[in-house]
Amino acid sequence: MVSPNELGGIRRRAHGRFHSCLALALLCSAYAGAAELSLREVPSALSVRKELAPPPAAVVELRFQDLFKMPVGSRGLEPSDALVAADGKHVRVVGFMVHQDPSPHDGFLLTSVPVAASNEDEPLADDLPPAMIRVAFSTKKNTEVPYLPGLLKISGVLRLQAHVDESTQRISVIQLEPDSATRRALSRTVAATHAPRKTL
Amino acid sequence: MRSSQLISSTIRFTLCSTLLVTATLSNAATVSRLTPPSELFASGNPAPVIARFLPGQRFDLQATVQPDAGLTLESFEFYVDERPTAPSLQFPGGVVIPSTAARSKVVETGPLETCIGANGKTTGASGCKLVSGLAGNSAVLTQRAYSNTTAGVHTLKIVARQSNGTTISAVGNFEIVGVTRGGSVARNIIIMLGDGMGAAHRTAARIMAKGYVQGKAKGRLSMDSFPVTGMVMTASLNSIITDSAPGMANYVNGNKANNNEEGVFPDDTRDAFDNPRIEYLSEYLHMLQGKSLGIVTTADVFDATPAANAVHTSARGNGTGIADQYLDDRNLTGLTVLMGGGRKWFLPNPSNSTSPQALNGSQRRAANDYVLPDDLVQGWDVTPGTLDPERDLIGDFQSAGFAYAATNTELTERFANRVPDRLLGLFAYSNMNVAFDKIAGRRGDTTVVNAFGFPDQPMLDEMTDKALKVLAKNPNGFVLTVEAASIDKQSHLMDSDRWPLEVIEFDHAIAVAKAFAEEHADTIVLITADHECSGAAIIGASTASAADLQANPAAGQSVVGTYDAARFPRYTIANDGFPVTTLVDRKMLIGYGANADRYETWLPALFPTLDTQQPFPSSQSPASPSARNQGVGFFISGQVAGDQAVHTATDIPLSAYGRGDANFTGVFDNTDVFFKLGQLAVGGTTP
Repeated sequence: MVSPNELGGIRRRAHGRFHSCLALALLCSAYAGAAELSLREVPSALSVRKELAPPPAAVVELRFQDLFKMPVGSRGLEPSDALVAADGKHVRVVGFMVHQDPSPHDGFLLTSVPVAASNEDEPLADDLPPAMIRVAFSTKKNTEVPYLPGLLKISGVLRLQAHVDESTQRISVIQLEPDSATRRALSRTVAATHAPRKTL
Repeated sequence: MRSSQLISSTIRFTLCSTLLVTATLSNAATVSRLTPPSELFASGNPAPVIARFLPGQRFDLQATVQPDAGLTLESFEFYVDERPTAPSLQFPGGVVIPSTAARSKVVETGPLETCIGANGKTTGASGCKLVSGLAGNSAVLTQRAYSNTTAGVHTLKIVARQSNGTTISAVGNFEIVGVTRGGSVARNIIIMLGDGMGAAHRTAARIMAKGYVQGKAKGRLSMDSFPVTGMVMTASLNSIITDSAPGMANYVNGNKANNNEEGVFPDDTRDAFDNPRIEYLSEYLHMLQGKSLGIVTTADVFDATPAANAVHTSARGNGTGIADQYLDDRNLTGLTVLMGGGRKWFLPNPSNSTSPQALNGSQRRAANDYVLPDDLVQGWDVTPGTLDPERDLIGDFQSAGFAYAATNTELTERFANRVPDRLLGLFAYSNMNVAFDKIAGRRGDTTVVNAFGFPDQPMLDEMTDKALKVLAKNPNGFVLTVEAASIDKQSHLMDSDRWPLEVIEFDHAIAVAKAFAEEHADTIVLITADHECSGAAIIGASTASAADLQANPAAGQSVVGTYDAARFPRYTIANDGFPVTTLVDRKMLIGYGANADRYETWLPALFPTLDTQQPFPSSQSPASPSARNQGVGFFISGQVAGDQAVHTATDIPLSAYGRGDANFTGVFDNTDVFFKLGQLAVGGTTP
C-alpha cells in the first residue's frame, strides 16, 4: 500500500482495470486508458475551490434545488418555472460529477450530491437524485471521460430534451450543452488523461 | 475413360465426399440445450440432479435443436419417463385432441442478411430471434407449464423429427421432491433477506448496536435470538459467484438460474421475457392455497431481489416490463403488497423517451417492456403484455384496488380508518435513501433526503409492520419477502459507516417479523441473504480518537488496532435505535477481501453539510469529507477491477424462527430452502 502522494494522486486504468504505479523506480508511461484525477488536478476552469463570482449577465445561475418542485410529488417530478424558463438559455450549474463505473463515453451526469453509480450490479436501481443533469459532452474517438472529483462548475445551453444512454438505458431529460470555454477545458482534461504520460 | 480422366474423377469424387462429410460433421444434427438443465444431458452423469421441483410445480420444457444442414424440423415431442408430455384437450364423447396452444417452435425469421452470417450461423443481431452461434436452421422448441406429481427422479427426452424423416433426440433428468403430509403447516412464510449480508455484517451490527464487555456481547440483535441457524451455499447456475437475481430466485423456486436471470432458465432466444419459466413459491402457494404475496424492499422495486419473487425475465434491467408484470401477473402471484422505491417506472412516458419527454421523471421505455409469446400466454394463463411506456402504472394499481402511499405520512394515513386490502408504496425515485441518511433526516439534518426530494421515507420496520397488517387479512396466509437492499449496495461502495446501519435497520424489521410470528404460531420466519458482498471483515478498531482520525485522514495502517489493541469499540445508541454517531473514539474498522482500489480514511463518507448549489469556502467543501475514491486518505490496492467491491462465494448464515424452524440447520444449498418451505406450507412439519 502506498499513499496518494507516492502515487502522484493518479490511478491509471486500462480496459476498466486499475494499474497502480507502486515503486518509485517504475515509470508508468504506456497508454493506460482514462485516469482518475485527484482534486487538485481538476482544471480551475471546471473546479470550484472558492466562492464564485456571479456569472455574466447573459448567463443564468441554476441550482439543482430549483429544477423541480420539492419534495417530489406523489405522481412524479414537476418542473419548476425556473427550469422551463431556462430551456434554451445559457446557464451555469454547480454540482458533482456522478462517479460512474465504467466511465461514460457519451456525456456525464451532474448531481447535487457526490454519488456513485455502477453498471456492474444494476445501473438503474441507483442512488442518484432524480434532479440530475446530463452534460452533453462527447469525446473524440469515443474515449472515456475521466471522473472529476469535487465541486464542478459547468456552463452551457440547457435543453429540455430526452436522451437515452443505450448502454445503461437511462433516460435523462435535462441536457446541458457545454459552452466553448467549458468544452475546451473538458477536452483538454480528457486529452491529458489519455495521453501517454509519465508518473513518478 | 482415360486413366487421367479416371484419376481426375476419382479426385473430384473424393474431394466432394470429403467436403460433404466435413459439411455434415460441421452441421451434424444436435440438441445443444435441454431444459430443465441436467448433468445427465451436459455430461452424461445422472448426478447431481440439477433441476428439482415440488409436486405440481409448473415449469417449461425446452430444447434447442440444430438440424442437419439443409434440413428443418417438422415436429417434436417431449417425453418424461418415456411418456409423451403434450397436454391434451378432452371433449364430450371422449374425443381427445393434443393441445398445441402451449407449445412453440422458434426459428430465425429475422432478415436473413442480418441474422445469418456468412458461416451459416446465427448472428444474434438486433431484430433477430435467436442468439448468436447456432446453426442457421436451428429451432427452439418449448412446451409450457409442465408439471409432475410423482416424487423421484425422472428422465426427460426430446425427440425432434427432421424434414427428411430422421429424428434427433437427447436425454436429461429432473427430480420431483416429495412432500410428506400430516404435519402442522406453516400458514405464513416471511423471508427476511439482507442483501449481501454475510456473517461479518451481522457481527458488525451487533458490535455497533449492542457492544461488548469482557468478551461478551452486552445484548443480542433480534436476528441473534432466532433459535436455529444453518449455512447456505449460494452459487448460481453459471458461476460460483451469484448476483442477486438467481440469489433470491433460487430460494423461492428451488432451481439454479444464470446470473442476471430471475424466475427462468436460460435459453437461446433474444427475447428476455420468453425464457422457460419456473413457478415461484408465491405462484405455487397462491394456486394451491390462495396465499397472498408481499414484497417490501429498500431498493427500487424493479431491482433483482424483489423482482425475483414474482417476475420472470432473463434481463433484470428491464424495468418497464418488470414493473408492469408485478401488476399484470397479480392473479398468478397473489401480489397484495408492494413497497419500496422505484417510482420512476410507474410514471407515464407518453413519448417513449423521444422528445418532448414528460418531465415527470419516468424511465419507462418500450425497449425494456414486454410482450409475451402466445404459447407462454396460453400455457401459464398470463397477461400477454403490451409495449406501453405511456402506461400510468400507479393509476392501474389503484384501479386494481391498491391503496397508494408516496410518503411515510401517507402510509400511516392509509391505515387511519381501516387496513387496506392491497397496498402500493413508492417512497423514492429509485433506491430509497439509506438508514444513515434517513435517520439523519429524522434527527434534523435533512440535507441528503431533501437533496433527493424525498424527506419523508419510512424505515424498513415501519414498512414491514404495515405489510404484515395487510397480509394478515388473508386467512389462507401469505408469503412475504422483506429485503434490506442497501446492505449490499453500501458494501459494494465499501462504506463502512452506512452498511452497518442498514443491518441495524434490518434487525429492527426482523423484530417486527418475529413479534408477528410470536402471535401467529403458524408462521415461519427466515433471515438470510442472497450472497455475501465485499468480503467484509472486522479487522479491529482504531487506536485513535475520532478527532485524531479527522485530523489525519491518511493515517492508514498506523491506527488499526488488531488483537488486544482492538479492545471493545463503544457506540452510544440513541432512542431511535441507531448510533448517535459512527465516528466514535476507537471505532470499529472494516476491511474488505473482495475490494476494488479505494482511499480509506476510516471516516464516514459524509455528503455535504451545506447546500451545494452555491459554492462555499473550501474548508466547508464536500471535497474533504466526501473523500472515498477521491484521492484523500490511505490508498488500498484492490484485487478486483472497477471502483466497487464485489459479491463473494462465501456461504452465508440463515436463521429461522417459528413453525418448522428446526429444518433449517446444517449446511445446505439455497435451493433446498424452497423445498423446506414447500414441505412446511403444504405438508407441514415432519416428525
